[in-house]
Amino acid sequence: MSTNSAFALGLITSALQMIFVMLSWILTTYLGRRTIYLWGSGFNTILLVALGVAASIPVTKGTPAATAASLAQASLGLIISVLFTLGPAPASWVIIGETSAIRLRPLTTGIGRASYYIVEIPCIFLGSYMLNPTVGLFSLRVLR
Amino acid sequence: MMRRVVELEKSDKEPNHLELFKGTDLYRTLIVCGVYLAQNLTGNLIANQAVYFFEREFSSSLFL
Repeated sequence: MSTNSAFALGLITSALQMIFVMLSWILTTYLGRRTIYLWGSGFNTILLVALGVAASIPVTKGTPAATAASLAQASLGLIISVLFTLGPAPASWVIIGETSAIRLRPLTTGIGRASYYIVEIPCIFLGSYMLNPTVGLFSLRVLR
Repeated sequence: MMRRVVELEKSDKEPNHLELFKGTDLYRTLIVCGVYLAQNLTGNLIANQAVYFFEREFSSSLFL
């Protein structure tokens, strides 16, 4: 795949995410945020487990099975990131904004954001290990 | 609602960081932190890299 089509696919993913956020506006008129958040997260968990299974099946490189497993990982990743923007992502911002007491809202949101960044640092660290084909730690699992 | 909140902020006493960890507000803090953390821990950093996986599979010009 050329650099241009890879870039186009990235743009398509972002466009799909935008459309699904707009669809979530319609969804919120029919379902409560608790329903959306819990069912959305549950469904995403199932898909993430499926992605993990697709990445863990032992296959030999270059065979059709390896191609199928790789494509399954790629498609599931795209579906997960798009479905996340339909359900749990907008609902989570609503929950963050509405849970805290009015008087303490700035402080609660600030503490939450701080904890988010504290956890994000190891996540980025692990993520780059997982996606780096030259590092042996996860390269056999996530990629092949 | 906005006007009421502004008036409330003027009339109420300064909020204290310790209050975040007392009683019901502790649960609220935990929920907000948990929801924030879930955004990271659901693996979006990896799931958003779908293009990278496609790129790996189609690097031999099969695609587009």
